[in-house]
Amino acid sequence: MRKFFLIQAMIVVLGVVSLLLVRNNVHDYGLLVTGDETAVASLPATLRLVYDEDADASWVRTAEEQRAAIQKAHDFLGTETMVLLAESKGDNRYADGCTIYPMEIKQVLEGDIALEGQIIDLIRVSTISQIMVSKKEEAELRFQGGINYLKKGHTYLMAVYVYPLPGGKVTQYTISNLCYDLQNTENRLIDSPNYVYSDCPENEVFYCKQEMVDAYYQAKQDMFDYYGISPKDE
Amino acid sequence: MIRTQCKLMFLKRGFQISFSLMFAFAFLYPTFLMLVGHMKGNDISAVPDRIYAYPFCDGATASDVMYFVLPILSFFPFAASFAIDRKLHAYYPLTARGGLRSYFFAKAIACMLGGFIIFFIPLAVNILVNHLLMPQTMRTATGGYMGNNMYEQYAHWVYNAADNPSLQPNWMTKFWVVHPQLTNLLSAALVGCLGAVSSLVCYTSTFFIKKYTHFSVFPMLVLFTAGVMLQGNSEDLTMSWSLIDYVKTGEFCSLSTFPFFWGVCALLVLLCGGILWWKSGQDLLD
Repeated sequence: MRKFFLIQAMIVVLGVVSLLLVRNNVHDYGLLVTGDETAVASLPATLRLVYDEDADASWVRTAEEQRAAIQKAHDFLGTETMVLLAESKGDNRYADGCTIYPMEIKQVLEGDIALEGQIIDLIRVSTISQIMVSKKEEAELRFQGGINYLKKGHTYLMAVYVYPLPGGKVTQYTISNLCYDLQNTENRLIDSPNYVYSDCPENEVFYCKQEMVDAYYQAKQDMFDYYGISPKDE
Repeated sequence: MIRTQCKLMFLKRGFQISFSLMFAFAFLYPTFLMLVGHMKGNDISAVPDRIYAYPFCDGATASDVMYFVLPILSFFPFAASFAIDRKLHAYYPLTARGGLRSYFFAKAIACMLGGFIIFFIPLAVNILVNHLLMPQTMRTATGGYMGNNMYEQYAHWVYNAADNPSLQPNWMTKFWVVHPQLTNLLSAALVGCLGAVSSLVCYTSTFFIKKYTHFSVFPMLVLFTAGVMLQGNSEDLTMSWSLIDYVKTGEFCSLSTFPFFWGVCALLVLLCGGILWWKSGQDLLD
């Protein structure tokens, strides 16, 4: 029995030491604490943007499809869905494919909760959905829906899902895929696999075909028209 | 009688080896996950969060081979003890005072205890090690809510639920969101229960498989494999034929057919109890 306990003690020591040794050698590019385009662009790793040649304009949701998706989520889940104008205040946090944006609510266009003037944490799921590092200094970066980080100081038209979390103490506000920058933006087309993030951190979207970019801006304009917003209103 | 059999079980090399194997696995599994991340050159954010470094987590590679490993490991603690006693004619003195029935049932209880301990204690230690030493790659969303950020997880559930009604979060999912490590601990206890039942079935099988007692792992192996094969690539996440699915964190949160799991376990225990009762009334001199 003494031998048995000795073996268990050895396993404990071996396990703890090996875990600590490996942990100290795991690369830390800083992604865990990175939440905005400036910080990502300045990371030591080369973050190569995904180039998907099979993509086409049908991948981009039209304004109709966006509204239908919001309605569907609302009908099915019974959750509150709000449409807001909100300004990103910076100091974003990043956590395992999820970015948390402190944002000031400028105007509530749809929804019953009075949030105007408040700064609340809005969560965007899977901003970076996949980071694959093939070599030590190179990572592949893929944005959900091809949409870049929300930029500090910019105002966005966005639909937000409201989830009272279990326990009832905290309410989570999650940004849907309906999220458009009110500022006029210009996009560099990712038309080859050679682009890295620092080439175009100012992009609103990362698409590889002009038809996709056009479809995105068309949907954006349609949505602005629907809510009677002009980009000049910001 | 039970205490004697438990003492015997703890002193058995089979128990000590299977416990040590499971203990080493529980301790080295998080290192393995970290090492895989390291070898690929991944950023630390790609290393699974402490709550996902639990081997019976849904999606963990380790949990996919457990349907094969669990019955084998649960055989070693004490399942072959009666076969050995019978071979050595060592049960006569043990049954002289208490009788054959209490001898069989004491062995069965010791067997189940052994099967439970070899899985539950190492997995509980794994949860503790993960909590202390693994990175928290799921940061808190709004600042320290229960120490883990399961918001994203919950949001994913709700998003997916919009397209798939079977994914609508139930109370178990909500418990998982708020107390992920406690849910892992619950899973460890369920694995222990499955190990206990598996050990009991192996022990009972030795009454019929007299020559090659190691083959008594087959009934549970066949049961687990049949469950996995029946389940196949089914996309229905609300029910499963595979008993292993009912002990995986994340997976059991979505299952609504828990009575099936408990029903099968209870049936096996009753069946084994019946066989032991029947055998205790028979002449064992053959």
